[in-house]
Amino acid sequence: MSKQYRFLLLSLLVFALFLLDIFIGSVRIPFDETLRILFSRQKFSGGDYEIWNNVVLLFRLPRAVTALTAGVGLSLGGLCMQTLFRNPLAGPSVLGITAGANFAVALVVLVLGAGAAGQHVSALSGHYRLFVVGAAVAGAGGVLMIVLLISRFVGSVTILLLFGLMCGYLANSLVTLLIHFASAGQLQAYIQWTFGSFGSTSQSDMIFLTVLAAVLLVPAVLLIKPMNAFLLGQEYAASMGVHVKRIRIILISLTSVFAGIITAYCGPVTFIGVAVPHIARGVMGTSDHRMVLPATLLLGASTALFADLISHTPGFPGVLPLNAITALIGVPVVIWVLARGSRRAGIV
Amino acid sequence: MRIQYLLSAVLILFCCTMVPAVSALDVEYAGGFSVIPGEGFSILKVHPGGEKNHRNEITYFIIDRRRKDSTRIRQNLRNSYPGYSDLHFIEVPVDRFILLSSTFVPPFHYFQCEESIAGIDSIDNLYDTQLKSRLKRKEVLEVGNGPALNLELVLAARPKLVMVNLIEGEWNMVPRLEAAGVPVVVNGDYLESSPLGRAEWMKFFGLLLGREDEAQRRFDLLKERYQSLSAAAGRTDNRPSVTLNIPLTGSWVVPGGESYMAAFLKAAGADYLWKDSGSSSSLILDGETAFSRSVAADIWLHQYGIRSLAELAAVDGRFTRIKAFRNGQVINNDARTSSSGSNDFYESGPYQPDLILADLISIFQPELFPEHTLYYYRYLE
Amino acid sequence: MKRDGRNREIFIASDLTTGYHHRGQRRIVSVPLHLSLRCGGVTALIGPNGSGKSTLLRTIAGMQPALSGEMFLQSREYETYSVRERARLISVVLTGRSTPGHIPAGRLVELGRYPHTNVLDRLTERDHRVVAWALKAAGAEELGSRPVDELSDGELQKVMIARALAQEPKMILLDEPTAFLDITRKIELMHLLKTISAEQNTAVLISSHDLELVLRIADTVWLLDEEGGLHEGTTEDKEFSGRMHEVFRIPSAFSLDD
Repeated sequence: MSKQYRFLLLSLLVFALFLLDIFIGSVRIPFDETLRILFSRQKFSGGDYEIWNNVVLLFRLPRAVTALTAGVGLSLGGLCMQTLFRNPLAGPSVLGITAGANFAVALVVLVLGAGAAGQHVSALSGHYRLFVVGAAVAGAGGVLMIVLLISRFVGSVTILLLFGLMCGYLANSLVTLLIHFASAGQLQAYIQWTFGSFGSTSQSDMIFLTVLAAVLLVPAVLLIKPMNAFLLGQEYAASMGVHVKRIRIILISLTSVFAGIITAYCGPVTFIGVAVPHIARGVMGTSDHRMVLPATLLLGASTALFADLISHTPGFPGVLPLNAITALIGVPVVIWVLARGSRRAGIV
Repeated sequence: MRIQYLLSAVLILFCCTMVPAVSALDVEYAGGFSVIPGEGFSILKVHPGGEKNHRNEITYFIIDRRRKDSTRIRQNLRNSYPGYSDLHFIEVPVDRFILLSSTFVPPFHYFQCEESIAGIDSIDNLYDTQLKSRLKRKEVLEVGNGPALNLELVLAARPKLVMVNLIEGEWNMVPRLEAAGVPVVVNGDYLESSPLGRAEWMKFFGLLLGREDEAQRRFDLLKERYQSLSAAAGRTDNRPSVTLNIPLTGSWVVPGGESYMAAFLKAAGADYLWKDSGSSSSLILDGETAFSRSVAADIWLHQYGIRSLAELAAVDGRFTRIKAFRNGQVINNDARTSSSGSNDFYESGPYQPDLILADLISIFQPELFPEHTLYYYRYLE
Repeated sequence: MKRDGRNREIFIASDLTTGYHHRGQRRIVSVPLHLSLRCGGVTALIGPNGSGKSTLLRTIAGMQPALSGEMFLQSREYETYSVRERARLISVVLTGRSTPGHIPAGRLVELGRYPHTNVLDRLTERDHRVVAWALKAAGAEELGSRPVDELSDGELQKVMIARALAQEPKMILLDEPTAFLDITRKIELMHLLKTISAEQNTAVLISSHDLELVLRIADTVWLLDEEGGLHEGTTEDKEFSGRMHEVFRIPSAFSLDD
């Protein structure tokens, strides 16, 4: 199967999953009605039609778009990190950025959001979402600043990786401390957040995320060449004319900014970053980023949409935690990668 | 299990051989505890989850310490069960409590026993202003709860009784307290799914504070008011549809159709949108399901800590499409909240279901009690 | 300095001190050196373990900073070159087996065109021709379509050399290129480097432990001793070979001469 054919299939997959994610949800809406809502300019009045209209445009569409952009951004971040660190288990959270975001959100929800049993959030809850989003961005940004600072002075990526790991441990232990002192209501709100969800975005959020993802694609394309050089390691890359420090900063910043923003809007979404690049390499049969990068973007979108689809299983009014599902998909893939051995897996 | 059978045997023995004292404490609505009178003592059984549920059942022997023969009674009971080292005795009236939940505080006011509170779990979760000032003056200790419980402080306070909620797992304080030799009594009031059942736990407090008659009288009055209010609401034809709560991170948690809140809504003559869910536990709904049903709701209650309609819209713009929002029928139960975020609706509310019901009826059926001023509830502007 | 194409000096180092910073301290590896490399010539960099061969080679490659002194490439100071410009003049082959993942060998050689292609890595007609030539010159023609992770050590090393060639450098630096190869491959590779140097008029600097082999192809020898001093000479030079025996502490029974 030629490479172009594979890309075509992957694109079709994204398209199909995107549509499915809009057509299927816990509220039963007839297929043709959904089509009409999406594509016709008719106005609806009253009754079921109005509810369906609201559900499709206010809930399903933002959710599908969020899943798509999150999948694209997180899997791209994972690819960048795996290439930079030449480590198959790296992902967008490897530098402790998402742990920083987690900690900031825990701070907001568990400490500032007071309340007795039965209550979840308190006085600041009117701007609850704003605070949570802001905290996540600030937390991610803070850790990113420190990582970039260290990256300037440290040549070895291994040290950077270890530093990120330590940051992650630190942030997580601080969260444990906060949990220890939290009340049951606050705890539930925080735990709910850690499940991850593509469903809490509004239409304006959706537009922002789309623009962000589109903007992200430009540097991504320009990074294909240096990332291929990185396949040989930093030393060879430098000898071939790559500004190693500059590329490092760009890779780290790109990954972290997007991962931070996604974490802010969707909670911590795990595994997509780590697992998808491996699937992409397997599907395209090469480590060449000219093919792996676009494949990663397409597969990332597909995986996220697929996970979202499952978490909103039709007919069942509840929601399954997103992170449980991404892990269920992600873990077998990671195990498969390790089982194949590092050579055939296509990355050191 | 064996102790249950033995207790019944003792009971029959006593009942047959002596004239039983008539207990003032008939428990009609609450399923979580029952009181069995004995000669010179009572048996208090706490069985959260219902009488048939023996899993978490705990039995306490209540002995009136004011009686001259209290020591003899205690010894008799001990002798009846040789080999049982874990009989729980409580000598009432208890005059020194540590309460590990702010929801235990209100009855102490009703029976004027505020001085009996020596410790509370947290000042932030407390609404009661009098207790708060006593805490600030260090007359009452703050001892923490859950993994953060300060056992040393508890022991140093020398409580006669520590009252805890029954919670499973890490937050279950009973084994820790018992291991430290602290006398514990379990309170299961929050598991009640009927408003009167939950209010009836004031009799539990009455028993422990030596005020059974008062408790009974108070509850009877309360019951009457509640039932007449409910009957008045039932006579109207208007049944506005009601939705509750707000979603967090996409999921919308609502009380089940057989739950405490649902019972209130039914008694107040409302049509709770999930009244047919058939269970008392909460439902976790995904955003679109909950929204598609809530969008046509006439009235919307309980928006956590939200202060205004603008704030509500800021949380999620989709809320503005809900009918109740457009008609300004958004009412929060936080009219009585402290600066630390504690809400009296959950503290004194359970013991004043008649007030809650009156509030709700005045919201759902405004023509019935036009002079009523809302006590726990507040319209969002 | 000769100005004609052949044999001109491509690289000059003046007062060069190599070394690195370790825990805030400077550790000098080589004392101030004056060196030059000529196009078309093979220079062997030899010395006992720990004498600083790798450090010197990496410093010349621009991979680590010199502690003091200046280096000139085509009469311009190193600092005046951008990373990309320098990559068009110098390429390296390092020790050890690099594992670039699952790509065809030809693609790996194409990576050598990095400093010549645009941001989108578009390869022109010329680029493809250079790649094909590089593969041939390195004796790796048949390996082009095979995935690199399936190549033997010897085959991979040839491909890496092809990649270095595809960069079209004026100077190739190799750090122990034959370290993991068997004797046949070693000889093959050394001859290859000699041929390339002559035919492409490229300056080749090889650091190696395989004294017998590297001395055979070397026009000039740089001998590093344990004090950080460098002795330059040729293999014909008797005095020089005496020095070699000293530095390596070889008993006179074993001769390094032809």
